[in-house]
Order: sequence, then C-alpha cells, then structure tokens
Amino acid sequence: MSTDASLTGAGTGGFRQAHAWLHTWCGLWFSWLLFAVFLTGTLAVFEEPITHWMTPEHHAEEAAAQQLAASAPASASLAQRLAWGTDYMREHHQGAAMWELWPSDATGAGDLRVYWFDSNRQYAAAQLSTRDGSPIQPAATPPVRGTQGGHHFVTFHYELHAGTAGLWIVGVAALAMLVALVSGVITHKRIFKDFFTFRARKGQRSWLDAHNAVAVLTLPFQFMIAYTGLALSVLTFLPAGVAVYYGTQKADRERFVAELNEPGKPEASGRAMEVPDLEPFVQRGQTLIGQPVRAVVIDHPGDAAARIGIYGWNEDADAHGRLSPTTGMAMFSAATGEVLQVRLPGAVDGGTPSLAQSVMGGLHMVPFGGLALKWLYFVCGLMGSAMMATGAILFMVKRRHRHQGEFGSATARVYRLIEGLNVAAIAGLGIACVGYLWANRLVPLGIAHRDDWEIGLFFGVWGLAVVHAWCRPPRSAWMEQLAVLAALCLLLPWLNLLTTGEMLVTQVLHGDWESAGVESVCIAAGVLAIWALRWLRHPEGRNQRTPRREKQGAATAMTAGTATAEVAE
Amino acid sequence: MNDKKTPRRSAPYLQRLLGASLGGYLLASAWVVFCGALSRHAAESILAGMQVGLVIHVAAAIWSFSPMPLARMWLGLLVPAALLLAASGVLMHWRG
Repeated sequence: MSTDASLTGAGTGGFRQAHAWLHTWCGLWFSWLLFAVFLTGTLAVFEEPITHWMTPEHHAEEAAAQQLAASAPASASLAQRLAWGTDYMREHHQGAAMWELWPSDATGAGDLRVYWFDSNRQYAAAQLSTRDGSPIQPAATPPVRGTQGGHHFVTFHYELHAGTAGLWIVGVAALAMLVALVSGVITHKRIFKDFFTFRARKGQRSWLDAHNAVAVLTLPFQFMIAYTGLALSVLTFLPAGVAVYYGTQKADRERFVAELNEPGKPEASGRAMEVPDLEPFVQRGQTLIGQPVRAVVIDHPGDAAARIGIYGWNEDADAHGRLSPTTGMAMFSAATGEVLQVRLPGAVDGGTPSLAQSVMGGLHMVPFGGLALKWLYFVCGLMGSAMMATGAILFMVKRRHRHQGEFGSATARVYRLIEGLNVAAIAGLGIACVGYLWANRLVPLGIAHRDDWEIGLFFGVWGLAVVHAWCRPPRSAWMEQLAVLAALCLLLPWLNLLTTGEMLVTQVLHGDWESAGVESVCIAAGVLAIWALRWLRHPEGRNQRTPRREKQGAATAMTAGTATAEVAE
Repeated sequence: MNDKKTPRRSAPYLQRLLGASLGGYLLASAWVVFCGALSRHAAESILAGMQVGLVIHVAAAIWSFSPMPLARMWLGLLVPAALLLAASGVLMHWRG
C-alpha cells in the first residue's frame, strides 16, 4: 500500500494509485465483517472438538457406548439387517417416493437406521433394533445441555445465523475480499521483497510490514478459501443460467440439481413390483466400488422402474488422500438387476465441472489430510484474520496524527466510529467467542431453547462490546476489552472445573485430547491477550525487544483476535 | 485534494461502485447464460459458467476502479454483456 493511497480518488491517478485507493477503502469497509467470518470460520475447523467440550454429559455416554460395543456379542448379519429394514419400510412407508437404509457401520456393527421422504417430501428417520428389527422409540427426554456446540461457528461464518440474507451478506464480503486481494497485489510493487522486510518499533511502518507479511505469506490460501467459499453457494449467487434454461421456481432448481447429480434418474412407471431382496444387490455393489456398504437408496420403491443405489463408506485413510470427498456408488435396476451406473470413490457422476465443484467443497472444508492439515488451515485462517485486523488498525494508525479529511467536516466523527468498530470487531469478537463457551457452562440446564440462549449471549456480549468501544476513549477501550478477553480465556478451565469437575490434567490423563485442546488454545489466547495488554500499557518497554521477537509478537497477537493498536503513540 | 472536495466528486465514485457491483454482476450473469446456450447438456456447462462467472465479477470490479473515463468503464462492462446475451439468443434460436 503506497503511503499516498488515500490522497487519490476512485479511478484517478495511475493504475497503481487507483488500486491503492480501492484496496484501502474496499478493505476497510469489509474488514470488520471479514474478520468475524474468518475468525469463526477458523474455529469451525475444529467444530467437533468444540462440540465435544460443550457437551460434557456426553463424555460418560461415549465411553459407555465404546465399552458396550467392545464387549457386545456379534449382532445381526448384514442380510438380516437389510431384511428388517425392508420389512419395516414395507409395513409403514409403502407409498414413500424414496427409501434409504443404513444397515451398519463400516465394520458391520453399529446401528440400523432407515430414512424416507414423508408425505410432505420431508426427510424422516427411524432407528431399528439390531436384535429383533423392531423400531426403537426415540428418547423422550431432550438432551441435558441443549447446545449447537461448534456448529454455531460454522453457521455464523457463512450465513451469520440470518438464513439466505446472511448468506448473501457473507457472499458480498467474500467477493469484496477477492477484489481487495487483487488490488492489494497490484498495489504491491515489491511483493517478494516486502515478505522479508520487517521494521520493528517504527509505528505505522511496523503495522504495514506486519500486514504485508501475513498477507503475502498466506496469499494462496486466502485466494483459495474466499473463492471456494463463494463457489460452494454459487447456485444461490449466480442463478441467471438456471433461471433462463430451467425456470425460477424451487422445483426448477431441484430439476437442475438432479440433472447434475443424478443423471438418468428413472420416472415411476405406475406398474407395481415388490422391492426385491436387497442383499445380492449390496454384495454386487460392494464388489463394484470396493467399499463396505453405508447406505442403500431405493427410488420409487414398489414400482417396476425402481432403482437401487449402493453407497460406500469412505475409510479415514482413503478420505485423507483424496480432495474430492465423494464415496463409491453403484446403481442397479431393481427389475432386471442391470448395472445402471458406477461411481468410484472420489469420482463424481457428472463431468469436469461437477468434479471441480466437489473438489472445491473438499478444499474449503478440509475433510482430507487429517489433523495436520486441520492445524495448517487453523494457522492460515488465523493469519487471514490477522491480515484483516492489521489492515483495519493500520488505517487508523495512519490517520491518528494526520487527518486526511476524507469525509469533510464529519471526518473526526467517522474516524471515531472506525476506532470503535476496530476495538469491537477485533477484541470484542474474541470476547463474544469465549463468552459463548462461558454461556455453555452458565446457562441453566434444561430450560427451553437453551441453544438459542447460548447464541443470544454470543450476540449480546458482542453488542455490549460495540457500545463499550464507542463510549470509552479508544486506548481505554482496547485495554479494557483485552483485559476482559484475557480474564475469560484464562479462567475458562477454572469455570469448567467448578461446573463439571473436569480439568486439563485429568483430561490429558484420560486421553481426552479434544477437550484438552480446546482449553489449551483458550489459555494460549488469554496469554497473548495479556501480552498485548502489557505492550499497550508500557509502550517504552517495546524498545528493549529484539526486532525478531517483535515481528512474531505482532503477528501472533493479531491472530488471537487480540490486536492492539499503537494507541499509546 | 482533500481540501478541494466538492459534491461533484461523489458522483463518479458512486458510478464506479455501481459498475463494480451491478455491472460486474450483469456481466457474470450474461456469461453464465451464454455458457448454458453452448451445450445441449446445459447443467454441466451452466455449473462451469457459474464457477468462472465469479472470477469474471472480480475482474469486472477491478476494471471498474481502474483509471479510465467513466464512459469507457461502462462500455467495457455493457458491450461484452450485450454481446454474450445476443450470442446466447442466436445460439438458442439456431437450435430451436
């Protein structure tokens, strides 16, 4: 970013200056929302461990279920399970347009479940006993600790808990991020050199260097994650083609998706035919795709045109090596037994665009590569968050001494607004995220809509942070919110000990690495917040640091969502 | 330049924003429609068109904020969009 970036206007000056202007303003107005999307998206990488930590009552159940599975006698055979499933569906859901049987897990044990489309075309489910095939009544008691767990971060990061409207808002922000990235690259004449440049203790320069370093280091990741995120919902974002050639109704869109994903799906013939014995189909399917059966899907059951699809289980080792997360699938005609279609694991039914779409889903949600890649995504995501945070802070650091009067007589008030938004969007969001974990332990168990209370508290705490940041002078706002963040992070393990009796040491001793990981990351974030707070309180102390430590510190402090402006200056 | 800020300066800024958002969206959508017209098996080529369309929208936004007269900016967005739509119409008519 050139230093005179904001002195030029939109589309004026040279090519590079015009894009410096675009980068500054496009980056600024979207940085707060993008920081929130990035930080929560980064947490969403570890959705399961967070959910595990947030459902402590399940820990005992999980352990008991594992013990039971290990000691239980061999349960019913695959043929028996399939027969029970077919019998149940024939008796209770003869008219459904689709049956789906999940006979067992990949080892042939586990639960037996059946699914179908009910009369409203809604997906419905039942579980059958693996001892006698009778339906198991779902437990009448709701979960003790109703929570959305880590899924809250997933939903928030792509639709802000606001449905389609939220999806569009995040979509616009992601597009703006791509524009800001491209204009940032154009602005940068020395992209390689800047990567090795860090000028510590130089105020504005240091912020610029930190912003450049995290951005350049992770540039491919940032492009990839923003683009694949957009591509995942591209059907919503660019509906023109589907509207012109298929129509604008919901059914038209479904027809398009069916044509993409289920080419050659048969129409019902109207002639009745019993669903045949499924076991031979499953055996043939398993051989064709080389995977154990996960699901048996029957289109138009009871009709002569019925089609039987056998879907496989992806083993962890297979899935880790493949970018496309699809499983194997074999389709048969129920009447003739003819093979209609075979899809090998990792392949797709359609052509290159379908495969690209599947791979982009895989690239964004990282089901491949195992734990190592999840951590890589976590770190890159934090650096992306740091890129937004340093950019937003740099904007204000630049203007603190030298008003640039972009907003005429309102400039001072707009700057104040931006200062407050910086504090609330960066430190405040950190407080809201860890506050969500606190809410999980503090909201009383068993109250109605308990999960909504937790999410309500997440937004409530964040809203308070916004109000606080505008009421207090910027420096005080930074320090107070960082102090609250540090306290909430560092006290979380104690809160857990008080409310559930679990603590980090026992988690490690019991091999509960998921809970231990959540609390360790939380402690690390708290330590960084303390570090940032000390840095802010004793600005003169910075002079004793070596440049290298300063660089790491500046980057990591941002990454924990604890960016501190050089308010002290 | 800040002290010479006049109300007239906000108009080109607004037009560039409109060019980047609506103009870019129109161009990307026209491209998707054109992709659908290319093939009888429309579903796959529409999907490919949508995937590329995102990149087109980003490029159009970059174009809109590049230093050039506003008239040229609009021409660069609207002429390709019109050509793509016209070509789609011809292709569809030709196929029947």
